[in-house]
Amino acid sequence: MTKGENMKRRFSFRFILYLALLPGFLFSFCPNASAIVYNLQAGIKTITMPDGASITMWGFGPVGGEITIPGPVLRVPSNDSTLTINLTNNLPEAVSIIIPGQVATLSPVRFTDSKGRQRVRSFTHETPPGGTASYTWNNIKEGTYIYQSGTHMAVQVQMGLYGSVVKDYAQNEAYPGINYDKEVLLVFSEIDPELHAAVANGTFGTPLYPSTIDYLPKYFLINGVPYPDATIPADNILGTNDTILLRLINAGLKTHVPTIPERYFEVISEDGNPYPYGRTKYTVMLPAGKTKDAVVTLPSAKRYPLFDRRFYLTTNEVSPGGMLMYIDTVEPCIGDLNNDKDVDAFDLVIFISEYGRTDCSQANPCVADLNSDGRVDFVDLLILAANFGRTNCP
Amino acid sequence: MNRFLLKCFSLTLFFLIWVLLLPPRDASAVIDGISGNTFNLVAKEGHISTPDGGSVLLWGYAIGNGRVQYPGPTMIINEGDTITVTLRNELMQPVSILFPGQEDVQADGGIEGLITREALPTDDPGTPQDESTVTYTFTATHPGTYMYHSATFPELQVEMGLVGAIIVRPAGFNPNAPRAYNHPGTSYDREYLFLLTEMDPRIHETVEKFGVDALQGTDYLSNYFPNYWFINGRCAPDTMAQAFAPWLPTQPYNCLPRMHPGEKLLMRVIGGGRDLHPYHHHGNNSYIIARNGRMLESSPGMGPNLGMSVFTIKTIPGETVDAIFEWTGKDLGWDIYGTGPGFEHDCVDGNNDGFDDNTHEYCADHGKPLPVILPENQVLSFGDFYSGSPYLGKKGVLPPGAGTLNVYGGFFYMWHSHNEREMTNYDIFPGGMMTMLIIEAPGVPIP
Amino acid sequence: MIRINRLFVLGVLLGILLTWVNPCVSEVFVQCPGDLNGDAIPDPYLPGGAPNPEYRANVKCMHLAAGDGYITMADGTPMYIFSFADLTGVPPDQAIEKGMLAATFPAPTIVADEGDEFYLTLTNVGMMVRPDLFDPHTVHWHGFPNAASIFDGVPDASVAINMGSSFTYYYKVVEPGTFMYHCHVEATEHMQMGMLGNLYVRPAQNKLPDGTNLNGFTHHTGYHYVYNDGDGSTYYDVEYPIQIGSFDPEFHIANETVQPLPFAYMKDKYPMLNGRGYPDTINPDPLPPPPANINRGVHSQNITSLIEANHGQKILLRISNLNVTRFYTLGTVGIAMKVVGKDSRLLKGQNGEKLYYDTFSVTLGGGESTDVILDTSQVSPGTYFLYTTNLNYLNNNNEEFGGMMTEIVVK
Repeated sequence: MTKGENMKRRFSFRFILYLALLPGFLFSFCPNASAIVYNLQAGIKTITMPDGASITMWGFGPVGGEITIPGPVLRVPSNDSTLTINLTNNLPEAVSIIIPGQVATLSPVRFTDSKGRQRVRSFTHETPPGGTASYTWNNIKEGTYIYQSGTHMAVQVQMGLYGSVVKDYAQNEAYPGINYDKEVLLVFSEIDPELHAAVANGTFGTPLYPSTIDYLPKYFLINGVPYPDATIPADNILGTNDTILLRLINAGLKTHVPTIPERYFEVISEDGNPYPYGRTKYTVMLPAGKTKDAVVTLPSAKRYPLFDRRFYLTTNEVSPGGMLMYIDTVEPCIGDLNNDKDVDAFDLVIFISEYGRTDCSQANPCVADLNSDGRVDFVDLLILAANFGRTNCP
Repeated sequence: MNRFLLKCFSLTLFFLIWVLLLPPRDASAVIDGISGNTFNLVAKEGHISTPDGGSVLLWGYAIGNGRVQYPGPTMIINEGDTITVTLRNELMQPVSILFPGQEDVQADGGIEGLITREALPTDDPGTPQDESTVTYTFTATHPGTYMYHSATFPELQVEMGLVGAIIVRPAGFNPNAPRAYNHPGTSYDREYLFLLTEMDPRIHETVEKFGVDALQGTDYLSNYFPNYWFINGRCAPDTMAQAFAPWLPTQPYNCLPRMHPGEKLLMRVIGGGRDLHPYHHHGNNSYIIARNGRMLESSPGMGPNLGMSVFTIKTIPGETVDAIFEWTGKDLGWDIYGTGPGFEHDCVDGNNDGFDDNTHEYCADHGKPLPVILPENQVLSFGDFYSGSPYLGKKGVLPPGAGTLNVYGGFFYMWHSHNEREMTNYDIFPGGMMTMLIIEAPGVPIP
Repeated sequence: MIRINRLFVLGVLLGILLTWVNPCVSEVFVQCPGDLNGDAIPDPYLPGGAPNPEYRANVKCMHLAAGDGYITMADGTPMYIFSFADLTGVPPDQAIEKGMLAATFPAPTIVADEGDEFYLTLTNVGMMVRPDLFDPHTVHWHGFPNAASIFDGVPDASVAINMGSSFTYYYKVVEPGTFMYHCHVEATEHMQMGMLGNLYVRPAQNKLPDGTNLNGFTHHTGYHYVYNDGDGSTYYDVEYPIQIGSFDPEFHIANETVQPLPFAYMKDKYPMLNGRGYPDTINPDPLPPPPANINRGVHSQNITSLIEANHGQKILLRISNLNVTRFYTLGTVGIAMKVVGKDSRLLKGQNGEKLYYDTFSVTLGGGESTDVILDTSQVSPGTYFLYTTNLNYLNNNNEEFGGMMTEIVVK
């Protein structure tokens, strides 16, 4: 084993440990097995765009952790029926959290305007600046959703107070009967830099910048970043044989039309509701605030461009930029017998342990029978040899 | 109102157009385009003209050495054929072609671009270093309506005009009994193309006067605000002028759907630009049978059983819609061919479908008079497409100059974007994304 | 004060004009079978009490004025509009006077039943504030099936009625569903100016005999449905037409002050539901009229968007979009939408496949409609929201906490 592989193995171990401890770090896990609790904060974060522009954002992050745009993906285990978010507000104005696609009871907050009319400023109860509040959804449904601020929404959502909520029906089963191997979650959003500057320097809400009616975004983001920064996470390697679930989320204020022009997919749901019949498309109309799920396979080992067919492909007026990214797929590895995403000496050890078996069957399987002919022989060894050394298997 | 003067002006233009339209064109070609397996396109610069008198810079696709055109040539191809499209670049920046919905496009030549291979501006034609040509090859695996467009800075280049339509005929296509897809539920009598696009004239002016780089000093690409809207590359009223009109040399295609009662008209609608358009077709609902070149069917072989009936086709950028439009005048409650002296006619329903076997008149309404009295001419304003008679195929007495554009007494229906700002040509109403459907009386020749 | 003086002068001028232009033919002329006095209300009995032989139960009539008027935006800005006013019940000799400066926004809602013969008389009362305009007007029943061009209201393809006169449209109503109507004359201008209204048709299934078995669903008298669904699946308890709209104040000011109309710069900044921005959307009553000196004190914004139901009831939203500049997405929070219809048709496949789907928002361009059912039995009593998810349109121009939003109250 080379030093590099050794490092990687240790990294993998650490990664697993990290995953195991993650809920403990970030979230206090409720003793009730059917409820998951996330402790989030809302706060200010300054981000830098590829053109060097520095933008003041408001966003969500774990308590004690970093604010991110979009906020953290809130995953609800399949057997949980309740989601609770404890929100700490580190912003200068009151915020709240709503999940438009989940049925919920709301506690609207009103104020009286100068003409004596009651107006709602928050769809549900607020978390005051410096305070905390709790938001709970009972009977949370499976699907892909947005969570976002429900307060002063015309300002706060475009400031960055959005994220996604994901719940599967079962392990690798998004909805009953909709199975998938890999997930690609894409949050589309926009930034109007002048508006953010006005909020940051206090001119927003004054006659200089009275409202968001003239919203004019110049940055067009996928998962919080424009081209070329939007990528599939490095540990999410997609195989040409994988059934990929695209979770498409528009947290922006404009309609976008994500497209993979080279491949049809099946659009299967919107706002967490499966369609009675899927829709075979290479485009998805994704209006503001909408989530849609699509199932796709990408059968060639190559990069598939995915972009907004409304051509918001500039970054502060410069091309290329905006909502363009790639989905890379690779051939599946044959011979990754221990499923550690590498074909290496560990796999060879397993192979050797089974070498010579001729009794492979469904009842008595051999992982090393790579050509499924019932025995582990020289032919299988050749296949293993051909794949030997591959890393980052899908 | 000076708009009235403008209207008069444009209606005069209508008239000229209409007269020229009268001689039927080539009877076999309702959707104009080029067919075959091999296409040579050249990206070139030119100009289009708009009915407000504007001249707008165009980057478009030309057929070989032909003139640049907007939209690019409509490629009419057959299911199962292997198609080769060679693109040569005579523009000043790289250019390419993307074929959305064609799944295995091989691109050779040129250089690798962000989305597909691109042809560089012509430098050394014919030499081994020539990277100004790209060849795209694909098999048309499915029938339907598709598009092609540049994938090189498409936010600019599609806007500049590099977009066109593709029609894939189903295997075994019979022009005498045409079908959009391989199912009898997609049969039609006539077909028309509606490639919907828009242009923001600020972008074209900036590129023409100051070059592409000058766009970076503007917000035009993100704050997109078009002021021209097109069907098949023309703004109304040019949409209704004859195809290949000599005064529109770079805009060869028109859009003037005509049909008889009882016929099926296939609308092939393409969202070619950046904006969504609600395309409202007066007269009746249409039945959407396919989107993005795929029939709306619950399982293969079912035909368009999941189709939907709409009065406004939501046209989404990058998407295509196939819809069947029918009109019979059924259940209006009065005889659309008139009653009384001068309007004598029969309604013979031999096959018991409720309609006359030849004229497709709805027999249950036969002989029923118009239920209201129409006002005297003096209190009415008359449209130039009005025949002067409420009855199909008839003409009435009109004030001088009115109704001049209705030759056969047909019923005219406006087919237009229902975001009505899109019915203007850079501040001038009417215009933009609009044309007229004509229901012609039985027996009136339609090419 | 300046306005009333000007109006008075203009009104007098207009009055003179109306009597001067073709006195022989220029008149209000209501056509309504069975109507004895021209008020567009059919009379079942003759003055003596005998049955009126002309009367038919399925004949419905309506008399609309087309003209101008004023409304008030939610931020208090008065807005000059063109639109329609309801003259049904008004004797013909008073129609012009009553219709002047009485335009409402949205236009009066038209409700018909499948099987009706609908006679719609349109009287052009002229634009009091713009006497220089001689614009004719029409009514376009948007989505009418198999329309004949004479009654389709497209001026280019048929006729439009001039000032001081009436035109009667005839519609044999055979298709239930959610439609809309508007004037089609110089469509971009007249529609931006507000000549837009709700229009819907209730299905024949509502009138089935009590106890009818609809594939397992028992119909009872008083039940209503969105469409002839055959199984009760579009049953609802309360219905609300919700018309999406928006105005560009610059365009309206230009029109009011006789300036060139800025089509090229048209940007709508007052997003509305049923002619009001939030919080006026939740006012259950007609809005107070604009200052009396600008429109004679006419109540010009009469349609609330406050959606109310008792817990357990099903709410039908008949959503249409008649703005002229853009698509809007309208979403709910806290309560799901079931989409059962689109563009006046039931979502059903050729072999009866159910194509209804649940969602939390619908997106409509101008001229689209959709039917959405909210099932309040799925939620707790409380307040929910219907709002545009294009969140920057939650403003009344420069005023925050407004725009395209209303409340859904489940009691």
